[in-house]
Amino acid sequence: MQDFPILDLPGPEFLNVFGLVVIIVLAAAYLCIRLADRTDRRPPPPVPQNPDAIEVAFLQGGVNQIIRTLIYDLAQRGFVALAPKDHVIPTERQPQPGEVSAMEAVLLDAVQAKPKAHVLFEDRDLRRRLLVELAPVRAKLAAEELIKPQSVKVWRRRAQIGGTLIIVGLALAKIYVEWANGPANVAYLVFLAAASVAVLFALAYVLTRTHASRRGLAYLEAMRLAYGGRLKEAVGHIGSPGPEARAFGGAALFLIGLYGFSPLKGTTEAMFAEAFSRGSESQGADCGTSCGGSCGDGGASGGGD
Amino acid sequence: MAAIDAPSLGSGLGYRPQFRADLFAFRDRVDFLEIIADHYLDASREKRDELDLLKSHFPLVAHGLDLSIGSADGVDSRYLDQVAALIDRIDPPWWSEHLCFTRAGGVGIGHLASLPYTQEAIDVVARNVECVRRRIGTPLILENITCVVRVPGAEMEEADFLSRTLEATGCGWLCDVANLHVNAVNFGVNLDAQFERWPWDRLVQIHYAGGRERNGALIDSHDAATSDAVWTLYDRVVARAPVRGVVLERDENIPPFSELIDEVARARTTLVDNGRWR
Repeated sequence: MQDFPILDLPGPEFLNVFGLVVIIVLAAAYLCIRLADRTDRRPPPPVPQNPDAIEVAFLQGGVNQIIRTLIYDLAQRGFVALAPKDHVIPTERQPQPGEVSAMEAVLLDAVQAKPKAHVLFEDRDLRRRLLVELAPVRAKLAAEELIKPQSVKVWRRRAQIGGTLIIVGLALAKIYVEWANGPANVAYLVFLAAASVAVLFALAYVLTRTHASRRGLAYLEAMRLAYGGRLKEAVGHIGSPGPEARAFGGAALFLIGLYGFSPLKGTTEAMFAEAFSRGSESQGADCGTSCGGSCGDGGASGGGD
Repeated sequence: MAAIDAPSLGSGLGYRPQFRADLFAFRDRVDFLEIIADHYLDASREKRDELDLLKSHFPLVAHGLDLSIGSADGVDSRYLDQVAALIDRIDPPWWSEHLCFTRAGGVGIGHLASLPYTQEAIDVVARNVECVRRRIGTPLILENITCVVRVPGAEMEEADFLSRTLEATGCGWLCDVANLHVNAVNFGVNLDAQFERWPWDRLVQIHYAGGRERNGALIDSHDAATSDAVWTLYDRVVARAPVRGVVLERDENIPPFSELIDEVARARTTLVDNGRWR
Protein backbone atom coordinates (compact mmCIF):
# COMPACT_ATOMS: atom_id res chain seq x y z
CA MET A 1 0.00 0.00 0.00
CA GLN A 2 3.03 2.22 0.54
CA ASP A 3 3.40 2.08 -3.25
CA PHE A 4 0.63 4.66 -3.65
CA PRO A 5 2.38 8.03 -3.68
CA ILE A 6 -0.74 9.83 -2.37
CA LEU A 7 -0.62 7.78 0.80
CA ASP A 8 2.97 8.79 1.40
CA LEU A 9 2.15 12.48 1.36
CA PRO A 10 2.74 14.33 4.62
CA GLY A 11 -0.40 14.92 6.71
CA PRO A 12 -1.39 18.45 5.61
CA GLU A 13 -0.74 17.75 1.95
CA PHE A 14 -2.68 14.51 2.13
CA LEU A 15 -5.59 16.37 3.71
CA ASN A 16 -5.64 18.74 0.73
CA VAL A 17 -5.82 15.79 -1.64
CA PHE A 18 -8.42 14.13 0.58
CA GLY A 19 -10.52 17.30 0.50
CA LEU A 20 -10.28 17.38 -3.28
CA VAL A 21 -11.40 13.75 -3.50
CA VAL A 22 -14.37 14.52 -1.24
CA ILE A 23 -15.40 17.43 -3.45
CA ILE A 24 -15.19 15.23 -6.54
CA VAL A 25 -17.22 12.51 -4.84
CA LEU A 26 -19.90 15.01 -3.79
CA ALA A 27 -20.05 16.51 -7.28
CA ALA A 28 -20.29 13.08 -8.85
CA ALA A 29 -23.03 12.09 -6.40
CA TYR A 30 -24.95 15.25 -7.23
CA LEU A 31 -24.70 14.60 -10.94
CA CYS A 32 -25.64 10.94 -10.67
CA ILE A 33 -28.75 11.64 -8.62
CA ARG A 34 -29.71 14.73 -10.59
CA LEU A 35 -29.35 13.00 -13.96
CA ALA A 36 -31.34 10.01 -12.77
CA ASP A 37 -34.42 12.25 -12.92
CA ARG A 38 -34.70 13.59 -16.43
CA THR A 39 -38.44 13.90 -16.43
CA ASP A 40 -38.13 17.62 -17.07
CA ARG A 41 -37.29 16.88 -20.69
CA ARG A 42 -41.07 17.05 -21.15
CA PRO A 43 -42.99 20.16 -20.20
CA PRO A 44 -45.39 19.74 -17.27
CA PRO A 45 -48.96 18.74 -18.09
CA PRO A 46 -51.56 21.52 -18.25
CA VAL A 47 -52.76 22.89 -14.95
CA PRO A 48 -56.04 21.10 -14.16
CA GLN A 49 -59.24 23.13 -14.10
CA ASN A 50 -60.45 21.28 -11.03
CA PRO A 51 -57.34 20.11 -9.17
CA ASP A 52 -57.80 16.93 -7.19
CA ALA A 53 -56.88 17.56 -3.57
CA ILE A 54 -55.58 14.04 -3.01
CA GLU A 55 -53.38 14.03 -6.10
CA VAL A 56 -51.98 17.44 -5.29
CA ALA A 57 -51.33 16.56 -1.65
CA PHE A 58 -49.65 13.28 -2.52
CA LEU A 59 -47.45 14.94 -5.08
CA GLN A 60 -46.59 17.78 -2.76
CA GLY A 61 -45.75 15.84 0.36
CA GLY A 62 -46.67 12.16 0.13
CA VAL A 63 -48.66 10.44 2.86
CA ASN A 64 -47.97 13.13 5.46
CA GLN A 65 -49.55 15.77 3.27
CA ILE A 66 -52.49 13.46 2.60
CA ILE A 67 -52.95 13.13 6.37
CA ARG A 68 -52.86 16.91 6.83
CA THR A 69 -55.30 17.51 4.02
CA LEU A 70 -57.80 14.86 5.07
CA ILE A 71 -57.68 15.80 8.74
CA TYR A 72 -58.35 19.40 7.82
CA ASP A 73 -61.23 18.39 5.58
CA LEU A 74 -62.71 16.10 8.21
CA ALA A 75 -62.43 18.91 10.76
CA GLN A 76 -64.14 21.36 8.42
CA ARG A 77 -66.96 18.89 7.97
CA GLY A 78 -67.28 18.31 11.71
CA PHE A 79 -66.06 14.72 11.99
CA VAL A 80 -62.87 15.42 13.92
CA ALA A 81 -61.57 18.26 16.06
CA LEU A 82 -58.30 19.44 17.48
CA ALA A 83 -58.16 19.13 21.26
CA PRO A 84 -55.67 20.64 23.71
CA LYS A 85 -52.10 19.34 23.60
CA ASP A 86 -52.34 18.69 19.86
CA HIS A 87 -54.68 15.71 20.14
CA VAL A 88 -56.87 14.90 17.18
CA ILE A 89 -60.19 13.59 18.44
CA PRO A 90 -63.36 12.29 16.79
CA THR A 91 -66.52 14.29 17.30
CA GLU A 92 -69.92 12.89 18.05
CA ARG A 93 -70.94 13.28 14.45
CA GLN A 94 -70.97 9.94 12.67
CA PRO A 95 -70.64 9.83 8.89
CA GLN A 96 -73.58 8.51 6.93
CA PRO A 97 -72.89 5.78 4.36
CA GLY A 98 -71.06 7.30 1.41
CA GLU A 99 -70.40 10.55 3.25
CA VAL A 100 -66.68 9.95 3.63
CA SER A 101 -64.19 8.39 1.22
CA ALA A 102 -62.30 5.18 1.95
CA MET A 103 -59.21 7.19 2.88
CA GLU A 104 -61.19 9.44 5.19
CA ALA A 105 -62.68 6.36 6.82
CA VAL A 106 -59.16 5.03 7.44
CA LEU A 107 -58.21 8.29 9.10
CA LEU A 108 -61.39 8.38 11.16
CA ASP A 109 -60.45 4.92 12.43
CA ALA A 110 -57.01 6.18 13.33
CA VAL A 111 -58.27 9.15 15.34
CA GLN A 112 -60.56 7.03 17.50
CA ALA A 113 -57.56 6.58 19.82
CA LYS A 114 -57.30 10.40 20.09
CA PRO A 115 -53.66 10.48 19.03
CA LYS A 116 -51.47 13.55 19.01
CA ALA A 117 -51.19 15.06 15.56
CA HIS A 118 -47.61 13.98 14.98
CA VAL A 119 -48.40 10.42 16.02
CA LEU A 120 -50.54 10.13 12.91
CA PHE A 121 -47.42 10.63 10.82
CA GLU A 122 -45.67 7.80 12.68
CA ASP A 123 -48.56 5.35 12.61
CA ARG A 124 -47.21 2.63 10.32
CA ASP A 125 -50.52 0.83 10.02
CA LEU A 126 -52.27 4.06 9.04
CA ARG A 127 -49.62 4.80 6.42
CA ARG A 128 -49.86 1.31 5.00
CA ARG A 129 -53.66 1.48 4.74
CA LEU A 130 -53.54 4.92 3.18
CA LEU A 131 -50.98 3.78 0.66
CA VAL A 132 -53.22 0.90 -0.37
CA GLU A 133 -56.00 3.41 -1.05
CA LEU A 134 -53.55 5.70 -2.81
CA ALA A 135 -52.31 3.07 -5.25
CA PRO A 136 -54.40 4.35 -8.20
CA VAL A 137 -53.31 7.94 -7.56
CA ARG A 138 -49.71 6.88 -7.33
CA ALA A 139 -49.96 4.87 -10.55
CA LYS A 140 -51.53 7.80 -12.37
CA LEU A 141 -48.89 10.26 -11.22
CA ALA A 142 -46.11 7.80 -12.04
CA ALA A 143 -47.52 7.29 -15.54
CA GLU A 144 -47.34 11.04 -16.06
CA GLU A 145 -43.76 11.09 -14.74
CA LEU A 146 -44.78 13.45 -11.97
CA ILE A 147 -43.29 11.45 -9.11
CA LYS A 148 -39.63 10.63 -8.83
CA PRO A 149 -38.61 7.65 -10.93
CA GLN A 150 -37.22 4.59 -9.16
CA SER A 151 -33.90 5.24 -10.89
CA VAL A 152 -33.36 8.14 -8.50
CA LYS A 153 -33.56 5.79 -5.55
CA VAL A 154 -31.18 3.38 -7.25
CA TRP A 155 -28.66 6.08 -8.05
CA ARG A 156 -28.99 7.63 -4.60
CA ARG A 157 -28.03 4.31 -3.07
CA ARG A 158 -25.16 3.82 -5.51
CA ALA A 159 -23.88 7.32 -4.83
CA GLN A 160 -24.11 6.81 -1.08
CA ILE A 161 -22.40 3.44 -1.11
CA GLY A 162 -19.80 4.30 -3.74
CA GLY A 163 -19.01 7.68 -2.21
CA THR A 164 -18.73 6.22 1.28
CA LEU A 165 -16.40 3.48 0.07
CA ILE A 166 -14.12 5.99 -1.62
CA ILE A 167 -14.01 8.43 1.29
CA VAL A 168 -13.70 5.85 4.06
CA GLY A 169 -11.40 3.63 2.00
CA LEU A 170 -8.98 6.45 1.33
CA ALA A 171 -9.01 7.52 4.97
CA LEU A 172 -8.46 3.96 6.23
CA ALA A 173 -5.63 3.39 3.77
CA LYS A 174 -3.87 6.51 5.00
CA ILE A 175 -4.42 5.53 8.62
CA TYR A 176 -3.00 2.07 7.88
CA VAL A 177 0.08 3.58 6.23
CA GLU A 178 0.62 6.03 9.06
CA TRP A 179 0.23 3.44 11.75
CA ALA A 180 2.54 1.07 9.87
CA ASN A 181 5.22 3.74 10.29
CA GLY A 182 4.58 4.19 13.99
CA PRO A 183 2.19 6.16 16.20
CA ALA A 184 0.37 8.96 14.37
CA ASN A 185 -2.37 11.44 15.12
CA VAL A 186 -5.17 10.68 12.67
CA ALA A 187 -8.04 12.16 14.67
CA TYR A 188 -8.56 15.04 12.28
CA LEU A 189 -8.63 12.70 9.29
CA VAL A 190 -11.19 10.50 11.03
CA PHE A 191 -13.31 13.54 11.78
CA LEU A 192 -13.00 14.80 8.22
CA ALA A 193 -13.96 11.43 6.78
CA ALA A 194 -16.98 11.13 9.07
CA ALA A 195 -18.09 14.68 8.26
CA SER A 196 -17.68 14.06 4.53
CA VAL A 197 -19.82 10.94 4.65
CA ALA A 198 -22.44 12.87 6.62
CA VAL A 199 -22.42 15.60 3.98
CA LEU A 200 -22.76 12.98 1.26
CA PHE A 201 -25.82 11.49 2.93
CA ALA A 202 -27.29 14.93 3.59
CA LEU A 203 -26.81 15.86 -0.05
CA ALA A 204 -28.49 12.65 -1.17
CA TYR A 205 -31.38 13.34 1.18
CA VAL A 206 -31.86 16.92 0.01
CA LEU A 207 -31.81 15.86 -3.62
CA THR A 208 -34.38 13.13 -3.14
CA ARG A 209 -36.63 14.28 -0.32
CA THR A 210 -39.49 15.50 -2.48
CA HIS A 211 -41.96 13.05 -3.89
CA ALA A 212 -42.37 15.04 -7.04
CA SER A 213 -40.04 14.52 -9.96
CA ARG A 214 -38.56 17.54 -11.67
CA ARG A 215 -41.53 17.49 -14.02
CA GLY A 216 -43.81 17.15 -11.02
CA LEU A 217 -42.18 20.12 -9.30
CA ALA A 218 -42.69 22.22 -12.42
CA TYR A 219 -46.32 21.09 -12.45
CA LEU A 220 -46.81 22.10 -8.82
CA GLU A 221 -45.13 25.42 -9.45
CA ALA A 222 -47.43 26.08 -12.40
CA MET A 223 -50.40 25.26 -10.20
CA ARG A 224 -49.20 27.67 -7.52
CA LEU A 225 -48.78 30.37 -10.12
CA ALA A 226 -52.20 29.73 -11.62
CA TYR A 227 -54.17 29.38 -8.40
CA GLY A 228 -52.12 31.36 -5.90
CA GLY A 229 -54.75 34.10 -5.93
CA ARG A 230 -57.30 31.65 -4.59
CA LEU A 231 -55.17 31.10 -1.50
CA LYS A 232 -55.35 34.74 -0.40
CA GLU A 233 -59.05 34.77 -1.13
CA ALA A 234 -59.66 31.61 0.89
CA VAL A 235 -57.55 32.72 3.84
CA GLY A 236 -59.52 35.96 3.87
CA HIS A 237 -62.74 34.00 4.31
CA ILE A 238 -61.53 32.07 7.36
CA GLY A 239 -63.50 33.09 10.39
CA SER A 240 -66.17 34.87 8.40
CA PRO A 241 -69.78 34.04 9.27
CA GLY A 242 -71.79 31.68 7.11
CA PRO A 243 -70.76 28.96 4.69
CA GLU A 244 -67.78 30.96 3.39
CA ALA A 245 -66.02 30.19 6.68
CA ARG A 246 -65.22 26.78 5.22
CA ALA A 247 -62.69 28.55 3.10
CA PHE A 248 -60.86 25.47 1.93
CA GLY A 249 -63.88 23.25 1.48
CA GLY A 250 -64.81 21.37 -1.65
CA ALA A 251 -62.97 22.55 -4.73
CA ALA A 252 -60.61 24.71 -2.66
CA LEU A 253 -59.32 21.81 -0.53
CA PHE A 254 -56.49 21.23 -2.97
CA LEU A 255 -54.95 24.46 -1.69
CA ILE A 256 -54.26 22.72 1.64
CA GLY A 257 -52.65 19.91 -0.32
CA LEU A 258 -50.61 22.41 -2.27
CA TYR A 259 -49.57 24.77 0.50
CA GLY A 260 -50.02 22.75 3.69
CA PHE A 261 -51.06 24.53 6.87
CA SER A 262 -48.60 27.43 6.68
CA PRO A 263 -51.17 29.86 5.21
CA LEU A 264 -53.41 29.24 8.23
CA LYS A 265 -50.94 30.94 10.56
CA GLY A 266 -52.37 34.13 11.92
CA THR A 267 -55.94 33.01 11.25
CA THR A 268 -58.51 31.50 13.58
CA GLU A 269 -57.43 28.12 12.26
CA ALA A 270 -53.79 28.56 13.19
CA MET A 271 -54.12 25.62 15.59
CA PHE A 272 -53.75 23.25 12.64
CA ALA A 273 -50.44 24.77 11.67
CA GLU A 274 -49.30 24.70 15.29
CA ALA A 275 -50.43 21.16 16.11
CA PHE A 276 -48.95 19.63 13.02
CA SER A 277 -45.79 21.70 12.98
CA ARG A 278 -45.02 20.55 16.52
CA GLY A 279 -45.17 17.03 15.16
CA SER A 280 -43.36 17.71 11.94
CA GLU A 281 -40.67 20.15 11.10
CA SER A 282 -42.07 20.52 7.64
CA GLN A 283 -44.68 23.09 6.77
CA GLY A 284 -46.21 21.13 4.01
CA ALA A 285 -43.62 20.81 1.36
CA ASP A 286 -41.92 17.73 2.64
CA CYS A 287 -42.59 14.93 4.97
CA GLY A 288 -41.29 16.02 8.27
CA THR A 289 -39.09 14.47 10.82
CA SER A 290 -40.22 10.97 10.36
CA CYS A 291 -39.68 10.55 6.68
CA GLY A 292 -36.51 9.76 4.86
CA GLY A 293 -35.90 10.28 1.17
CA SER A 294 -39.01 9.07 -0.48
CA CYS A 295 -38.18 8.98 -4.17
CA GLY A 296 -41.74 8.76 -5.27
CA ASP A 297 -42.85 6.08 -2.88
CA GLY A 298 -45.00 8.66 -1.14
CA GLY A 299 -43.31 8.06 2.16
CA ALA A 300 -44.32 4.42 2.09
CA SER A 301 -41.86 3.68 4.82
CA GLY A 302 -42.02 7.19 6.15
CA GLY A 303 -43.09 6.27 9.65
CA GLY A 304 -39.74 5.00 10.61
CA ASP A 305 -37.25 4.96 7.82
CA MET B 1 -58.35 38.94 -49.66
CA ALA B 2 -57.42 38.66 -45.97
CA ALA B 3 -55.31 41.38 -44.39
CA ILE B 4 -52.97 38.83 -42.88
CA ASP B 5 -52.47 35.12 -43.11
CA ALA B 6 -53.35 33.95 -39.60
CA PRO B 7 -55.55 31.36 -37.94
CA SER B 8 -58.91 32.14 -36.39
CA LEU B 9 -58.59 32.32 -32.62
CA GLY B 10 -62.21 32.59 -31.55
CA SER B 11 -63.59 34.49 -28.58
CA GLY B 12 -60.95 35.69 -26.19
CA LEU B 13 -60.34 37.84 -23.19
CA GLY B 14 -57.98 40.65 -22.35
CA TYR B 15 -55.85 39.08 -19.63
CA ARG B 16 -55.66 40.78 -16.24
CA PRO B 17 -53.82 39.15 -13.32
CA GLN B 18 -56.74 39.81 -10.97
CA PHE B 19 -58.73 36.96 -12.47
CA ARG B 20 -55.91 34.55 -13.17
CA ALA B 21 -57.17 31.80 -10.85
CA ASP B 22 -60.70 32.00 -12.24
CA LEU B 23 -59.32 32.03 -15.75
CA PHE B 24 -57.52 28.74 -15.19
CA ALA B 25 -60.56 27.22 -13.50
CA PHE B 26 -62.67 28.10 -16.57
CA ARG B 27 -60.03 27.98 -19.23
CA ASP B 28 -62.10 25.87 -21.58
CA ARG B 29 -64.49 28.83 -21.84
CA VAL B 30 -61.88 31.21 -23.21
CA ASP B 31 -60.43 30.53 -26.67
CA PHE B 32 -57.42 32.82 -26.46
CA LEU B 33 -55.92 35.66 -24.47
CA GLU B 34 -54.68 39.09 -25.32
CA ILE B 35 -51.90 40.29 -23.05
CA ILE B 36 -50.89 43.90 -22.57
CA ALA B 37 -47.38 43.95 -24.01
CA ASP B 38 -46.26 46.79 -21.78
CA HIS B 39 -46.86 44.69 -18.66
CA TYR B 40 -44.14 42.28 -19.76
CA LEU B 41 -41.41 44.58 -20.98
CA ASP B 42 -38.42 44.47 -18.65
CA ALA B 43 -40.47 41.92 -16.76
CA SER B 44 -39.62 40.44 -13.39
CA ARG B 45 -39.01 36.71 -13.07
CA GLU B 46 -42.56 36.31 -11.75
CA LYS B 47 -44.06 38.09 -14.76
CA ARG B 48 -41.97 36.01 -17.15
CA ASP B 49 -43.15 32.84 -15.42
CA GLU B 50 -46.71 34.11 -15.67
CA LEU B 51 -46.23 34.72 -19.37
CA ASP B 52 -44.83 31.22 -19.88
CA LEU B 53 -47.74 29.77 -17.95
CA LEU B 54 -50.26 31.65 -20.09
CA LYS B 55 -48.45 30.68 -23.26
CA SER B 56 -48.51 27.01 -22.35
CA HIS B 57 -52.28 27.07 -21.81
CA PHE B 58 -53.72 29.59 -24.29
CA PRO B 59 -53.06 31.01 -27.74
CA LEU B 60 -51.76 34.53 -27.08
CA VAL B 61 -51.75 37.82 -28.92
CA ALA B 62 -50.02 40.95 -27.65
CA HIS B 63 -51.48 44.43 -27.45
CA GLY B 64 -49.11 47.38 -27.11
CA LEU B 65 -49.86 50.73 -25.52
CA ASP B 66 -46.88 52.98 -25.93
CA LEU B 67 -45.23 52.42 -29.30
CA SER B 68 -46.53 55.80 -30.45
CA ILE B 69 -46.80 54.74 -34.05
CA GLY B 70 -47.96 58.22 -35.05
CA SER B 71 -45.02 60.16 -33.58
CA ALA B 72 -43.40 62.39 -36.16
CA ASP B 73 -40.01 61.83 -34.49
CA GLY B 74 -40.23 58.06 -34.99
CA VAL B 75 -40.64 55.16 -32.63
CA ASP B 76 -38.48 54.66 -29.54
CA SER B 77 -35.90 52.06 -30.56
CA ARG B 78 -35.39 50.79 -27.00
CA TYR B 79 -39.11 50.30 -26.54
CA LEU B 80 -39.27 48.62 -29.93
CA ASP B 81 -36.46 46.23 -28.93
CA GLN B 82 -38.36 45.29 -25.80
CA VAL B 83 -41.54 44.65 -27.73
CA ALA B 84 -39.57 42.60 -30.26
CA ALA B 85 -38.15 40.45 -27.46
CA LEU B 86 -41.64 39.88 -26.10
CA ILE B 87 -43.03 38.98 -29.51
CA ASP B 88 -40.14 36.56 -29.97
CA ARG B 89 -40.97 34.97 -26.65
CA ILE B 90 -44.70 34.41 -27.20
CA ASP B 91 -44.71 34.05 -31.00
CA PRO B 92 -48.27 35.32 -31.58
CA PRO B 93 -50.02 35.13 -34.96
CA TRP B 94 -50.27 38.94 -34.86
CA TRP B 95 -49.81 41.80 -32.45
CA SER B 96 -51.54 45.14 -32.18
CA GLU B 97 -51.00 48.79 -31.38
CA HIS B 98 -53.13 51.90 -31.32
CA LEU B 99 -53.29 54.25 -34.25
CA CYS B 100 -52.30 57.28 -32.23
CA PHE B 101 -49.34 58.96 -30.63
CA THR B 102 -48.30 58.77 -26.98
CA ARG B 103 -45.01 60.67 -27.23
CA ALA B 104 -44.07 63.95 -28.79
CA GLY B 105 -40.62 65.48 -28.84
CA GLY B 106 -39.40 62.55 -26.73
CA VAL B 107 -41.89 63.32 -23.96
CA GLY B 108 -44.50 60.76 -22.95
CA ILE B 109 -47.95 62.27 -22.70
CA GLY B 110 -49.51 59.43 -20.73
CA HIS B 111 -52.49 58.68 -22.89
CA LEU B 112 -53.52 57.73 -26.39
CA ALA B 113 -53.77 60.92 -28.44
CA SER B 114 -55.63 61.14 -31.70
CA LEU B 115 -53.69 61.88 -34.87
CA PRO B 116 -54.77 64.60 -37.25
CA TYR B 117 -56.67 63.07 -40.14
CA THR B 118 -54.16 64.24 -42.74
CA GLN B 119 -52.00 62.70 -45.44
CA GLU B 120 -48.93 63.88 -43.55
CA ALA B 121 -49.97 61.82 -40.51
CA ILE B 122 -50.54 58.80 -42.75
CA ASP B 123 -47.02 59.20 -44.16
CA VAL B 124 -45.58 59.36 -40.64
CA VAL B 125 -47.40 56.20 -39.61
CA ALA B 126 -46.31 54.41 -42.78
CA ARG B 127 -42.69 55.36 -42.12
CA ASN B 128 -42.88 54.19 -38.52
CA VAL B 129 -44.60 50.94 -39.43
CA GLU B 130 -41.81 50.23 -41.91
CA CYS B 131 -39.29 50.77 -39.13
CA VAL B 132 -41.23 48.44 -36.83
CA ARG B 133 -41.53 45.82 -39.55
CA ARG B 134 -37.76 45.75 -40.03
CA ARG B 135 -37.46 44.77 -36.37
CA ILE B 136 -40.56 42.59 -35.88
CA GLY B 137 -41.69 40.18 -38.58
CA THR B 138 -44.97 39.24 -36.91
CA PRO B 139 -47.91 41.09 -38.53
CA LEU B 140 -48.85 44.33 -36.81
CA ILE B 141 -52.48 45.40 -36.74
CA LEU B 142 -53.65 48.89 -35.79
CA GLU B 143 -56.55 49.82 -33.54
CA ASN B 144 -58.88 52.78 -33.93
CA ILE B 145 -58.99 54.84 -30.74
CA THR B 146 -61.52 57.14 -29.15
CA CYS B 147 -61.12 60.85 -29.72
CA VAL B 148 -61.47 63.40 -26.98
CA VAL B 149 -61.03 66.25 -29.45
CA ARG B 150 -60.63 66.24 -33.20
CA VAL B 151 -57.33 67.76 -34.19
CA PRO B 152 -58.05 70.83 -36.35
CA GLY B 153 -57.02 70.77 -39.99
CA ALA B 154 -58.44 67.36 -40.83
CA GLU B 155 -58.33 66.56 -44.53
CA MET B 156 -60.67 63.56 -44.26
CA GLU B 157 -63.10 61.65 -42.05
CA GLU B 158 -61.88 59.07 -39.53
CA ALA B 159 -63.07 56.16 -41.69
CA ASP B 160 -61.11 57.42 -44.68
CA PHE B 161 -58.08 58.19 -42.55
CA LEU B 162 -58.07 54.66 -41.16
CA SER B 163 -58.64 53.07 -44.59
CA ARG B 164 -55.82 55.04 -46.21
CA THR B 165 -53.46 54.41 -43.29
CA LEU B 166 -54.04 50.67 -43.41
CA GLU B 167 -53.59 50.73 -47.15
CA ALA B 168 -50.37 52.72 -46.91
CA THR B 169 -48.93 50.53 -44.18
CA GLY B 170 -50.31 47.14 -45.24
CA CYS B 171 -51.44 46.58 -41.66
CA GLY B 172 -54.58 44.77 -40.58
CA TRP B 173 -57.26 46.42 -38.50
CA LEU B 174 -58.09 45.86 -34.88
CA CYS B 175 -61.60 47.25 -34.84
CA ASP B 176 -62.61 48.46 -31.40
CA VAL B 177 -66.37 48.51 -31.82
CA ALA B 178 -66.79 50.31 -28.51
CA ASN B 179 -64.49 53.07 -29.76
CA LEU B 180 -66.39 53.28 -33.03
CA HIS B 181 -69.60 53.67 -31.06
CA VAL B 182 -68.15 56.21 -28.63
CA ASN B 183 -66.77 58.41 -31.41
CA ALA B 184 -69.98 58.17 -33.40
CA VAL B 185 -72.09 59.23 -30.43
CA ASN B 186 -69.74 61.95 -29.21
CA PHE B 187 -69.21 63.52 -32.64
CA GLY B 188 -72.67 62.91 -34.02
CA VAL B 189 -71.54 60.60 -36.80
CA ASN B 190 -74.17 58.40 -38.44
CA LEU B 191 -72.38 55.09 -38.28
CA ASP B 192 -75.13 53.29 -40.20
CA ALA B 193 -74.79 55.63 -43.13
CA GLN B 194 -71.00 55.46 -43.06
CA PHE B 195 -70.72 51.74 -42.40
CA GLU B 196 -69.34 50.68 -45.76
CA ARG B 197 -66.66 53.37 -45.70
CA TRP B 198 -64.71 51.51 -43.02
CA PRO B 199 -61.93 49.14 -44.17
CA TRP B 200 -63.68 45.86 -43.48
CA ASP B 201 -61.38 44.00 -45.87
CA ARG B 202 -58.57 44.77 -43.42
CA LEU B 203 -60.33 43.48 -40.31
CA VAL B 204 -58.37 41.00 -38.23
CA GLN B 205 -59.52 41.41 -34.65
CA ILE B 206 -62.29 43.08 -32.66
CA HIS B 207 -62.24 44.67 -29.22
CA TYR B 208 -65.46 45.20 -27.37
CA ALA B 209 -66.05 46.65 -23.92
CA GLY B 210 -68.41 48.65 -21.78
CA GLY B 211 -67.96 52.30 -20.94
CA ARG B 212 -69.85 55.07 -19.24
CA GLU B 213 -71.07 58.57 -19.73
CA ARG B 214 -69.33 61.54 -18.15
CA ASN B 215 -70.26 65.18 -18.61
CA GLY B 216 -72.54 64.30 -21.47
CA ALA B 217 -69.93 62.32 -23.39
CA LEU B 218 -69.31 58.60 -23.65
CA ILE B 219 -65.91 57.38 -22.52
CA ASP B 220 -64.27 54.07 -23.28
CA SER B 221 -63.55 53.23 -19.66
CA HIS B 222 -63.66 49.42 -19.80
CA ASP B 223 -65.46 49.38 -16.47
CA ALA B 224 -68.92 48.08 -17.29
CA ALA B 225 -70.68 45.36 -19.18
CA THR B 226 -70.85 45.81 -22.95
CA SER B 227 -73.87 47.91 -23.85
CA ASP B 228 -76.66 46.80 -26.14
CA ALA B 229 -75.64 49.43 -28.68
CA VAL B 230 -72.10 48.04 -28.83
CA TRP B 231 -73.40 44.49 -29.08
CA THR B 232 -75.58 45.52 -31.99
CA LEU B 233 -72.61 47.06 -33.75
CA TYR B 234 -70.46 44.03 -32.89
CA ASP B 235 -73.00 41.68 -34.43
CA ARG B 236 -73.13 43.77 -37.58
CA VAL B 237 -69.35 43.88 -37.91
CA VAL B 238 -68.94 40.14 -37.41
CA ALA B 239 -71.62 39.50 -40.00
CA ARG B 240 -69.88 41.90 -42.41
CA ALA B 241 -66.23 40.83 -42.20
CA PRO B 242 -64.19 37.69 -41.60
CA VAL B 243 -62.73 38.50 -38.19
CA ARG B 244 -60.00 36.22 -36.77
CA GLY B 245 -60.50 36.88 -33.09
CA VAL B 246 -62.57 38.98 -30.71
CA VAL B 247 -61.47 40.18 -27.29
CA LEU B 248 -63.41 41.49 -24.31
CA GLU B 249 -61.58 44.31 -22.51
CA ARG B 250 -62.28 44.92 -18.84
CA ASP B 251 -59.93 46.95 -16.66
CA GLU B 252 -61.98 48.44 -13.83
CA ASN B 253 -64.90 47.27 -11.66
CA ILE B 254 -64.05 43.72 -12.58
CA PRO B 255 -67.19 41.67 -11.93
CA PRO B 256 -67.47 38.02 -10.91
CA PHE B 257 -65.65 36.02 -13.56
CA SER B 258 -68.85 34.32 -14.64
CA GLU B 259 -70.10 37.65 -15.99
CA LEU B 260 -66.99 38.05 -18.13
CA ILE B 261 -67.39 34.49 -19.34
CA ASP B 262 -71.00 35.20 -20.25
CA GLU B 263 -69.86 38.12 -22.43
CA VAL B 264 -67.16 36.01 -24.05
CA ALA B 265 -69.78 33.33 -24.75
CA ARG B 266 -72.18 35.93 -26.17
CA ALA B 267 -69.45 37.13 -28.53
CA ARG B 268 -68.62 33.57 -29.53
CA THR B 269 -72.22 32.84 -30.39
CA THR B 270 -72.16 35.60 -33.01
CA LEU B 271 -68.88 34.26 -34.40
CA VAL B 272 -70.33 30.77 -34.69
CA ASP B 273 -73.61 32.00 -36.16
CA ASN B 274 -71.66 33.76 -38.89
CA GLY B 275 -69.29 30.91 -39.59
CA ARG B 276 -66.29 32.78 -38.17
CA TRP B 277 -65.56 30.16 -35.54
CA ARG B 278 -66.21 26.47 -35.10
